[in-house]
Amino acid sequence: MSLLHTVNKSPFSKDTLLNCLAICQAKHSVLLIEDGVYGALKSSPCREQIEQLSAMGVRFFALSADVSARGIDENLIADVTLASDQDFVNLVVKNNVTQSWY
Amino acid sequence: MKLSIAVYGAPHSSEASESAYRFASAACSMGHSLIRVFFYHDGVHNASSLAIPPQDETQTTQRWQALALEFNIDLVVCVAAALRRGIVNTEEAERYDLESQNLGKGFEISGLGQLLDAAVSSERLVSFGH
Repeated sequence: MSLLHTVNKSPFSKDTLLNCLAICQAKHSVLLIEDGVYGALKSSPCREQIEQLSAMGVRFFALSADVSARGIDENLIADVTLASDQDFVNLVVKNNVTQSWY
Repeated sequence: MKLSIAVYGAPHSSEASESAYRFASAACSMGHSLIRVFFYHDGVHNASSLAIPPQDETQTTQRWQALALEFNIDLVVCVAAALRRGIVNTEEAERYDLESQNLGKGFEISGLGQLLDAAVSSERLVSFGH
């Protein structure tokens, strides 16, 4: 089953993203929103896990407006794709279930 | 596609309602059918008609009301979460002999069953936590 995870906490302050990544499987997608977008930074404490999971087929996105609001557009891991609000809606539609981590 | 949303965060103390509104607005403009927005926990503060943010800031309650009116969306507030946080409609204000009511127009107070119903009758339910 395809599953979309949304994560809204920064990995610099909470383990939310780490816990999400621990149960991620191929065909899952992870959308980083709000402070969760800090997880997409090159200096993210979860960078290694994100790159490993990405190689296994997990797709990673960061909500574009939330990335821009924090001025971190230029410092993101290459495996993370920017997503618009419309892309968020499309991800919800495309996946069977959305699991929100907060 | 039929969608519903659950909002758990209050305006000004978390981004939940901002994120939820942006998602709701995008979904509606893309032609999806947003059936219900359920406000739970601190999310019930989204329904307060007595909150006056500065004019140049987001008018959260009015924005939900306008979206609901345009796209015919149920705005449902959990009764138990609302009462303990001082969000009441006329009926509850009378029942508890309160001085005033503050539930914004277009919002309704109902039970948690409405969240379950939203989950069952929609194809997707998306939660926005605090």
